[in-house]
Amino acid sequence: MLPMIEARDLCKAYEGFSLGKVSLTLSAGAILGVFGPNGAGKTTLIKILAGQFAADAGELRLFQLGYAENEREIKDRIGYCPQEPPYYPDYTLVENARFASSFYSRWDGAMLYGLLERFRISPYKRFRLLSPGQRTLFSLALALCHHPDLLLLDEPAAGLDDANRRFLLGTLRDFTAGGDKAVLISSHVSDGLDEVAEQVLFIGGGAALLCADKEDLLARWKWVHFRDRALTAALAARLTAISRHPFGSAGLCSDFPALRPELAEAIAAGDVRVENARLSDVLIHLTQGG
Amino acid sequence: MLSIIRRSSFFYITHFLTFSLMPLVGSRGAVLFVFIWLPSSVLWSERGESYAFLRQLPIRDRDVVRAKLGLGLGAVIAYWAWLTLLALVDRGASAQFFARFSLINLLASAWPPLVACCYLGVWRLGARGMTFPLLTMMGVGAVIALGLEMRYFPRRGSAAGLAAAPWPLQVLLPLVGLALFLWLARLGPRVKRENDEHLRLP
Repeated sequence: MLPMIEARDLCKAYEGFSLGKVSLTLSAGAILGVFGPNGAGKTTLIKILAGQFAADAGELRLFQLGYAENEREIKDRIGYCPQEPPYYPDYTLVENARFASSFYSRWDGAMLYGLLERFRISPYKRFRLLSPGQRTLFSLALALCHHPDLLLLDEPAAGLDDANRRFLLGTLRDFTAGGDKAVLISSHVSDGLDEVAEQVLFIGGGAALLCADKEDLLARWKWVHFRDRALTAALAARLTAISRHPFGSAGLCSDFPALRPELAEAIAAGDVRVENARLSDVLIHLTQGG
Repeated sequence: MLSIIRRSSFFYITHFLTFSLMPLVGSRGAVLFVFIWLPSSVLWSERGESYAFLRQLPIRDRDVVRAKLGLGLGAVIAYWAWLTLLALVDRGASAQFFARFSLINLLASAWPPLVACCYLGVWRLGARGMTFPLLTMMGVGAVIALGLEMRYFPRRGSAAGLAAAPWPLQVLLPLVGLALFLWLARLGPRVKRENDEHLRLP
């Protein structure tokens, strides 16, 4: 399957921040979640991918095209939902949409009105009068209504209520269901968008920490709960983020399949219990070492 | 591109209409009014512009530059044509008309590069960063135009000298002005691409 995004060693430096050598590939039909703490570089990465600004170094191709020669063609196929929607504050939603519609080749006004109705937002309201959540929803509607092949969503769940968050998750699943479209979302893991991500890229301190298939990642990272003296010192040393609790200790294991044979006996005896780690556990461990 | 021009043209139209009426009531500083209404049009239209939104849309920086500078150039050419028409109506095809036409022509040579400089400044420093320079330009333009109105400036001197300029200069100076404008316009996309300040939200 042809990749929708091919990024290699993307770098961008600002005063006081730099994004260093981030590489990723996103194929059609996939949802990639870019997760990281505040100030990790998620927005910078997504802005580079959306063509908001160019990387200082590295290679970027979307739909096998480069921005330098094919900016219009690429942007016509991208639905970008920025963290801070930049629309004209004194224009109504209709006016903003009408302005945008003149640039897209596959604009679908009926779809926009349908989405706004679904979100219960009046199209005749001025953009500056919308709540933060409504701004995100309008941004999402604009991103969807020109039938893009690739969605780039920067923290789209921020400020959304549960119903709209659920709608967003469903929309993302439907969007990629045909297998010819892809989604890249950046988010804090706690936003719940990790549910739909099939691949994950963890970013911290402006660097890519880990890029993997989510199922593989969660199969490798496990919480190991063990009674005192149930593990040898050598086995315990292979766990990280060890904390004590009333019935023993727990530690995070980053390669459970390799550790499983050595724990088999203790698991069978009931001295060790294994629990799935969450993406946030992995992210916190990678970014803070805790 | 038309959407961008349509959106940006509101302040140009209102300013143009206001200032183009002033020569009709006998204002002497009309050729200098450009130094008031042009920076003002740029300032107010650009303060409401969202380049981050434009960057999101399938349009190249080159086309945005073309739309913005095209609008500015169109406005100053329209003002030049309007002043020339007024001079012709006022004086007929006389020697006095040609002297006035010469003055308009030579001063108008500076207008296209001025338009380009205003926009390059906005793309380099952002609309907020350019507020003070543009307001200063408007203030200086207003003082000079008003001074001319109240005859603080000698009737003879630089203005009279310009009016009597030989015809090759009459042709050369506007051409130099246009060449400078085109050169600055070519710099536009690069200045936009290399600076992020103008991408701040309005």
